[in-house]
Amino acid sequence: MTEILLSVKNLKKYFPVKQGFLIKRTVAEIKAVDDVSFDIEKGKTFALVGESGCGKTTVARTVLKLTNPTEGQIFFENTDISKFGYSELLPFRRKMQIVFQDPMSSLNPRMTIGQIVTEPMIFHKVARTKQEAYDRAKSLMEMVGLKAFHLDRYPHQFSGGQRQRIAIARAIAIEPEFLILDEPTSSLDVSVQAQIINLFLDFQERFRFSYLFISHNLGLVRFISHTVGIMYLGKIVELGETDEVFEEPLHPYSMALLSATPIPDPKVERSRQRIILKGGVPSPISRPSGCFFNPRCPYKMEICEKVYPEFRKVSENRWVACHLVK
Amino acid sequence: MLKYIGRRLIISLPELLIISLMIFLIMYAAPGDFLDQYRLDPSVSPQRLKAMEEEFGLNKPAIVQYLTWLKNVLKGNLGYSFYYRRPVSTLIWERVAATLILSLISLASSWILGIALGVFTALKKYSIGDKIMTFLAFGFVAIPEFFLGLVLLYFAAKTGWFPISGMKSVYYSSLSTWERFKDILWHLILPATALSLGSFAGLMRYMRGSLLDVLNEDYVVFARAKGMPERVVIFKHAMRNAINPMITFLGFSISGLLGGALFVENVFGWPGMGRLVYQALIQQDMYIVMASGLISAVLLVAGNLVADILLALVDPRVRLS
Repeated sequence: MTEILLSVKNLKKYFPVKQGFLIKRTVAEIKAVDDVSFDIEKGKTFALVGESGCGKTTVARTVLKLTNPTEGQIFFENTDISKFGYSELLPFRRKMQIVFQDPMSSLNPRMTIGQIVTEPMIFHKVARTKQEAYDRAKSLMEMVGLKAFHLDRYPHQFSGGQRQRIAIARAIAIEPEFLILDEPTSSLDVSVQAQIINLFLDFQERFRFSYLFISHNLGLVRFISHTVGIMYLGKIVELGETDEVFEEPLHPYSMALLSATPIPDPKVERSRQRIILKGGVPSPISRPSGCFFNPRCPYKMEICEKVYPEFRKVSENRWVACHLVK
Repeated sequence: MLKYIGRRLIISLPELLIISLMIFLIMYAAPGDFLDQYRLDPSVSPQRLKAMEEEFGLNKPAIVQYLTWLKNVLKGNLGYSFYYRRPVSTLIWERVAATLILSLISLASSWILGIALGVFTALKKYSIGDKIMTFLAFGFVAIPEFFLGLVLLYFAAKTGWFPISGMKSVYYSSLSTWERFKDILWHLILPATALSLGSFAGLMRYMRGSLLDVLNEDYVVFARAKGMPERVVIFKHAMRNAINPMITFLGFSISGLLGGALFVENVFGWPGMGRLVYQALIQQDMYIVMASGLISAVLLVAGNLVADILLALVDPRVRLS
């Protein structure tokens, strides 16, 4: 029996576009996240993949309730938190944490590492005294591969990879159950990336963390995630077990996206067939009618211009939104 | 730290020397000199003119005049005023208090209001309140302070609510201490308003922009995600980082403490340094102008030094070296 930790149902986040000189009117809406649903099991990793601006980060911020969803539900341990206010959310805030893409701006430059790592523990009363928090911070530093004496230093005295380790120590300090990793390695060197990813995998094994992993790096996604959702213009177009989706993508956009991944075997790589898409991503304000992908799709049919395909379950744990897939 | 301050002060000496030389050259290059008004007066005899030239040293070559002034300054003597026939330092000293009252009050009020409303408009970005404040701020920045002063004077003359000129009422000497204080405050309101509105508006916009920059940083988002109350997020995480540019700005404000109120003092007849310097400029009373220029330059150097030290104290990234 699998245990669902986080379940997102029909999540929508629209941003109004306002125009007008003195009196602003809403003239359009950017549908940043449009009817997105997914589940994350306890101790498992769900990855969201897609081009820049497709709504991955908005999903993350809405799940964390940094912005309120326009519609839809967010179930955390079977409690719908989507309409919770500040005080109702507090106990859930302790269980959800985030690691950002850019470790240069995610640590407050005015605080020592000690203050940065202990602040959440003291705030959420995970540690009763400052001393206890500090002692815990010391062991956290060891866990992420830094030294206890680093606690007295300031963020600017560290390299990018070290800062990301600090950001991870800060995130796991309050023993969360769910971590959002918003492109946590994309601003790091490749060798450092591997170390950070191994850290995440190690923690998942030890503490049964669940991850929402957002990334551009398809190789990493395949390596780290159990299930994957592929997003295009605010919607998930394909969702399934990572290996299945990577082996046999069903949606034409997934095929094109996955064909862009280099294969680390020169012989196979030479024969790799790339699907090059025409044009660019349409504006999220005026999306194409029918299937949003139809202007770029190599397999376009008549119906694709008229009706947005239903997001259907095609097999166990596999959902696709495409008219091609029967 | 002390070593750093010492080195900064030594570096500032040539700066001050060059500034004083430039002020001198500009004054010297201006057509005419202090004695022109006497030359036009038929009742002043040529012999007397000659004697005055001799007395003021105006008949000597420019470089000799400058070096003499410099030698006196190094001995602590700022020179003599041609017009008042008294030492410049005494003249300035008599007026420093009035100018300081005016500029300190307006500095304090523009900073308190500027920072408070800057934070408010940043937090209520694009609200009606923000839009009104933005509109007013651009207005106050654009209106020159002497014009604002004239508008306020007109207002005072029409309503009679505020005195039009000066710092004390005629019956000041017959008042008790508390009433004296109130009397000066009553005279102070309009000139202080004229002086502070412009800098208040600028400070408010700076504070707003600086805080908005910081509010988008990930560590602020993280503080929110961890559930901290908005008050802690803003004052503990955001404000401490947004204040840096304001500290630099404070350094510049210090340099204007004694010379910044020149126009406003003249419009409101405030008996401070501004009026003295303005009259000296018109009469080419050279050493008063030189002295006030030098004081402003010293304050600028000191203000920048204070700002740099403050910055190093509050921000661990800044090192003095």
